[in-house]
Amino acid sequence: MITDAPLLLDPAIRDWVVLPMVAIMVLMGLCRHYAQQLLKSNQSLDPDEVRHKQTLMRCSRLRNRGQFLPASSFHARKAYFLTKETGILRQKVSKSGLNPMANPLGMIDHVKGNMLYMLPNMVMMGIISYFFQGFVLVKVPFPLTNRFKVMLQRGVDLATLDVSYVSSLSWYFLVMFGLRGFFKILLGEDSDALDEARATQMQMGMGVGMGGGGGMFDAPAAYKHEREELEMAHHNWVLEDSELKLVGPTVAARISAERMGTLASSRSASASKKAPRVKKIRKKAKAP
Amino acid sequence: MLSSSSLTQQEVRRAQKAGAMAAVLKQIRTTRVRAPEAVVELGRAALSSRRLGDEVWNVREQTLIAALDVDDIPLAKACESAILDRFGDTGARASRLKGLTQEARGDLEEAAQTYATMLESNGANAAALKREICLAKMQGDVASYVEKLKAYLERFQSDRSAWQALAETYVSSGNLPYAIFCYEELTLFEPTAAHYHCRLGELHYTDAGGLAGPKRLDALLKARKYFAHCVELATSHAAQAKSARAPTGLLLTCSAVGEIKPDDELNVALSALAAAHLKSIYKSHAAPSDLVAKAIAPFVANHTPPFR
Repeated sequence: MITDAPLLLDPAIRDWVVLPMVAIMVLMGLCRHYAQQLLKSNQSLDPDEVRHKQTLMRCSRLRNRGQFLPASSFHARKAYFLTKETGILRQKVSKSGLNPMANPLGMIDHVKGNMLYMLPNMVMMGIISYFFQGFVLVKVPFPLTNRFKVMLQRGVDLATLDVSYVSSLSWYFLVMFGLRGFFKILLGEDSDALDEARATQMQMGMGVGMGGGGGMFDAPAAYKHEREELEMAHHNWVLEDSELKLVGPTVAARISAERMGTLASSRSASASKKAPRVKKIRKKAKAP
Repeated sequence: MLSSSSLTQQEVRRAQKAGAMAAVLKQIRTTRVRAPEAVVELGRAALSSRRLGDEVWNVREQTLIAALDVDDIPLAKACESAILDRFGDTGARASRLKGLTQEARGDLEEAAQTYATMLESNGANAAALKREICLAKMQGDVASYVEKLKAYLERFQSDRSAWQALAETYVSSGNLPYAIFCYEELTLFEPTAAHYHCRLGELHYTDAGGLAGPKRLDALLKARKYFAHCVELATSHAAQAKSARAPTGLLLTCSAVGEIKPDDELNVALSALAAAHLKSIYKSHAAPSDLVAKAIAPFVANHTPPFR
């Protein structure tokens, strides 16, 4: 049974609960912002890690777009990365960034960041569900379907309550997520985003998806992965038929037919020459 | 992206009137347009208006760099001393600015000292490393310039402009295979950029001039492929379709290949195609079309088939 009679919300709720909650959350957001600025240690990126990441990026560029290089250039680069013992990807890399325990500073930074987000939220949620449990604070001025009940009436389990009423805990969440834009206006755009030096450093460090971000970069594993991927890479020069494409299909067909003809004749001529070489290779393969 | 020429005097004045100077400066900063004259004008007005809040330091930094760009030393000096008074000269950002002003004054040794201290506190400071490279270039010390650039590239392999700088240095010293290597790296960054392919074609063609026998033919064929690819890319881009660079390269390369293999059908077809492209490009040029078309006629005739 759904009663049509609207629920009357006491104006005192507005004055003593809704507005104070918004004010508290704004203040909390400001506090968090400044606390973060205070606690931020301007620790620079590990130079070795930057180098490893960029090597990996260059390697994946070669793997993905290597078709744009002539065969000799591609294979030279592949050899540079993969030659046994001297190849760049075969070098022993230290695990400096791997173990967060080995890098306590990085870990502290991580924990600090998390704490600043988690702790106030947990405390606030506790306070609100302790003081205002079961409160209905606000009524949104439009009707909503039943599905919004979970979102808007957390902590109030009334099947018959109209969905447009918002419970205290849900109001908390709505304000928490809704204030982001407000802070952007209040505190200005995130100044870090405009800090040129930082931005470039970020950009240089990023791009390698594996191993996660920050201190969790695992150089040896990433190297191994990239090594295996690059070993599999095929090469096919894209520009090989650029000329044929340019001259148009009719001329191209004639020229390639001609080429095939000359190739076929030369192949039959060299077939007898090639046979012993194949045998030799087979012998070699058996030897060890 | 805005180009510097799109920021006309009028726009600058309008921004001053509307009091939107900070916004325009910020726009220039975030899109990284190089418009030093406009920035100096706007920055000077904005800094004297004293209504910038925290933004003032960003504007000072921007104005300082723009002032160095247009060689307005007094303004740069004013910005620098304000920044150094506020932040000291220990931070990476402030000391880079200090080094830049020292460079502009001509105190290269002092600047080098500044960058050295920056690198002491953080050996991977890309900005300081780059300034050191620029110092070496400024002093005309090519060997050390190349060494430093190579060392830098070993650490920061994703820096495109460094690859290009190295490539152009190799070109100017005639070390073409090395330059080709660098440009090949650049194509890996942006495989669809026609200008890298065109440059590679030019380098291979130039390189072929110093070679003989099968190596020469090999280089020429590579050049021909690059030019052909570039012409093909350019035909699909309206903006680049008017560039005569790739067709000219293709024509010359075909002519050079034709000296070795006069009967190659593909070569003849490509050459005819390049000549046609070149003619149509010069015909579509606006004012002195006849003159230009006439002027290039003998050049085209010289390099078209038959090649004997």
